[in-house]
Amino acid sequence: MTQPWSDLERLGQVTPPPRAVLDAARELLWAAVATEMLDTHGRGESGQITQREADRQQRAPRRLPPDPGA
Amino acid sequence: METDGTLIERSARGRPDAFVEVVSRHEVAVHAFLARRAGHQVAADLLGEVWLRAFAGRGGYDPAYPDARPWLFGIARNVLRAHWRASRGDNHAPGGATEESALAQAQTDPWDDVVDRLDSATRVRALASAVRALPAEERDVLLLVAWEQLTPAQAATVLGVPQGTARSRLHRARAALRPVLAEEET
Repeated sequence: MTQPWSDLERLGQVTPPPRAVLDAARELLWAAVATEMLDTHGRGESGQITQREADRQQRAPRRLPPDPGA
Repeated sequence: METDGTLIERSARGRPDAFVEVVSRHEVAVHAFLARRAGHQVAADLLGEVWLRAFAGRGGYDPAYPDARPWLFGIARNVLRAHWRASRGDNHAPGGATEESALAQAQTDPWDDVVDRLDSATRVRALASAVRALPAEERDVLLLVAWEQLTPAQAATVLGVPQGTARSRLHRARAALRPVLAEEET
């Protein structure tokens, strides 16, 4: 939109969010991504979780993948 | 550079982490979409919910659409509506223009936040009042075009209406605002 509609655009101006706000939202997404990756890679062809993966999950707490945007 | 559609398709086919790149491209725009309509605090609270819903629903995305913004704005809009509905303490099923109008007049009407941000210029306040007086469905299209820089066709995708409907709503909204803008110029 051009003048005089620029006043309308002005009404919608907002300041960019702090980085921490974006990062907090991304963490929720990463948790969902990590859960799905573990579900996918932790199952054998039969769809059952492999013994190796079950052992690994028991030994180590879940960790989120590193955030490439950080 | 890969399109959003390509990344979303890959994320649905065994590489869920590819979805994070889509988010990194649009997180500022989606946050702004929320903040313009509900303020920064609500935007911060709801942004993660938008990503979770988008991630869960990515299997239904048509990769032929290279730009995911309209799709993400549509999800953000639904999250915002659910938030407003919850704020009002009711559980009405989503409806049409009547519900839209009710939501627009709800206690959390985003226009209160917009007016708070205005400077003292009378003309801008007059314009804000005129926008507020628009039917909610016309205002939605107008603001998607003016604030989110979408085309009318993309706005139609966000709202889930035919393109012709979005165009006619935009035409009516612009026509309604034109007298206010004409006054400003004289």
